[in-house]
Amino acid sequence: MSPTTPAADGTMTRMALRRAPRGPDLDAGPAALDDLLHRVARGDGAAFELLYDRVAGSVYGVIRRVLRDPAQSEEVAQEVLVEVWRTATRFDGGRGSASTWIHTMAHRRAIDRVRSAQASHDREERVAHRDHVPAYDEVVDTVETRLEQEQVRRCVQGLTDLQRESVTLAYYGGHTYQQVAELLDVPLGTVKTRMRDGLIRLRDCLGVMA
Amino acid sequence: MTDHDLHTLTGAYAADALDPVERDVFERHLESCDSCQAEVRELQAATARLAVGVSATPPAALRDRVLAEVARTRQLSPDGEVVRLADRRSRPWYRQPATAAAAVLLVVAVGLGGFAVHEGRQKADAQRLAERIAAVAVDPQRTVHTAPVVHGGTGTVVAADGIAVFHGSDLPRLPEGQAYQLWRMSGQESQSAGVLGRGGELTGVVTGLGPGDAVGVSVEPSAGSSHPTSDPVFVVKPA
Repeated sequence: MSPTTPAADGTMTRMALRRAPRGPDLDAGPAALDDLLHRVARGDGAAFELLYDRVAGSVYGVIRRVLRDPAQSEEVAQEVLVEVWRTATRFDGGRGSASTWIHTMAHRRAIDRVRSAQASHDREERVAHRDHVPAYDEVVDTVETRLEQEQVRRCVQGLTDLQRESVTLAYYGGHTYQQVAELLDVPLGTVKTRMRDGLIRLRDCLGVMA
Repeated sequence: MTDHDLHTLTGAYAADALDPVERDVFERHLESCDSCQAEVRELQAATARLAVGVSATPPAALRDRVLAEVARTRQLSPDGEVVRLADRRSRPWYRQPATAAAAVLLVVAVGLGGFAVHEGRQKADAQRLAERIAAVAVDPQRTVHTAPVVHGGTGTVVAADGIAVFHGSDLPRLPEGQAYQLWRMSGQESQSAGVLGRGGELTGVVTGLGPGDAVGVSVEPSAGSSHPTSDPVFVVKPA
C-alpha cells in the first residue's frame, strides 16, 4: 500500500506482481504507471512502449464508447497517445495519478470531437436511440481488465437509477448535463446533483485514489 | 445561481458534461477554489475508472502509427504556464467560440483577472466577485446584451436571476478626477453598483435587479456619486 514506492529498477517487478491474478491491486498498478509516465517525461521511448501497452486498450475503449465510429475513434486515440508522450513533462503526480491524467485527457478529446459540428448528426441518432447502457463488449481479455471491468460494473449497478443514468448518459453518451436533463425529463439541478453524488458513490465503491 | 450550485458542477465537470462556456468559467472558478479542486481530482479518478471499465482491443496498426509519430514528436519542456495557454488555444472551442454569447462570457471572465489586480481589491472580495460572475455565466437562463458606449467602447451585460455582470471594453480614458460608475436603474430611481474605474477594460456586478430594471453607466467624480449627475453613457435592460 505505498503509492510512493521508490522508482528506478523496481518497476518491472511491480508490474509483474500487478499482473498476478490476485484481484485488482489499486496501489501497485497506478504507482507503476506513474513511474512509467515519469520515465516517459525524460524521453524514455522504451517506457512509452510499456505505457502504451498498459493504457491503449482503455484509451481506445473509452473513446470508442463515446464516439462509436471506429475510424474516428482510432484517429482520436492516436492523437491522445501522442499527446501523452508530448506533454508527459507536464504531468504532476501531486495532482492525481497517471491513469487519471491520461483517461481524463482521452475522454475530453472524445467529447470535444462529439461536440464538434461534423459529429452532430451521429449524436442526434444516438439521442434518438437513447443507446447509453455500457455493453462491456470487446473486452481486452486479460484477468486484470476483466476483474477491473467486473468491479466497475458492480459499482455502476450500485448507483440509484437516476445516478446511473445521469453518469452514463454524460460520460459514455457524451451528453451535456442539460441534454441529460432533457433526455431524462428531470430538472437541471437534479441532474447536476445526481451526477455529483453518483460519482462520489462510485469513487467510494471503487476505492480510488485521486 | 448560488456558490453552492457552482460547487455542485464538480460532477458534471468531471464527466465532461459542461458546455464549452461553462467549462471555461468553471475552470476559472477552480483556480480559486481549493475544495473544488480536491473534489474534482477525486471524481476524475472515478471517471478514469469508468474509462478502464470499457477497455477494448485497439487495432494492431494503431501501435505502429503511434510509435512512429512519437519517434518524430518533440516533447514539451517542463515549463508550465506558456504551454498551458497554448494548450487552451489548441482546443477547437476556444479558437472559434460557437456563439456570440460564448465570446462575450470569455471576455467577461478574462476581464475579471485584470479587474481584481487593477482595482487593488482584497483577494476575498475578488474571489466573491469571481464566483458571482461565474454563477451568472453558467446560468442557462442568462441573457446577453451588447451595446456601444457613448464616446467610445462597448458594454456587455450578462444577466441571470437578478444579477447582472457589466463588462466594458475599450472605454475611453477619463480625465483625472472622473470615473465610470455603474447603476441599477429602476424607473426614476438609481442605485449605485460601484465605481468601475477611469477607462479601458472594466467589470462590475449589479445585484437586486427586478423586472424592467436597467443597468446603466455614467461618468461621475472619481469618488462616486449617490445618484447619477450626468446623462448615462450606457443603458441596457437585461430582462
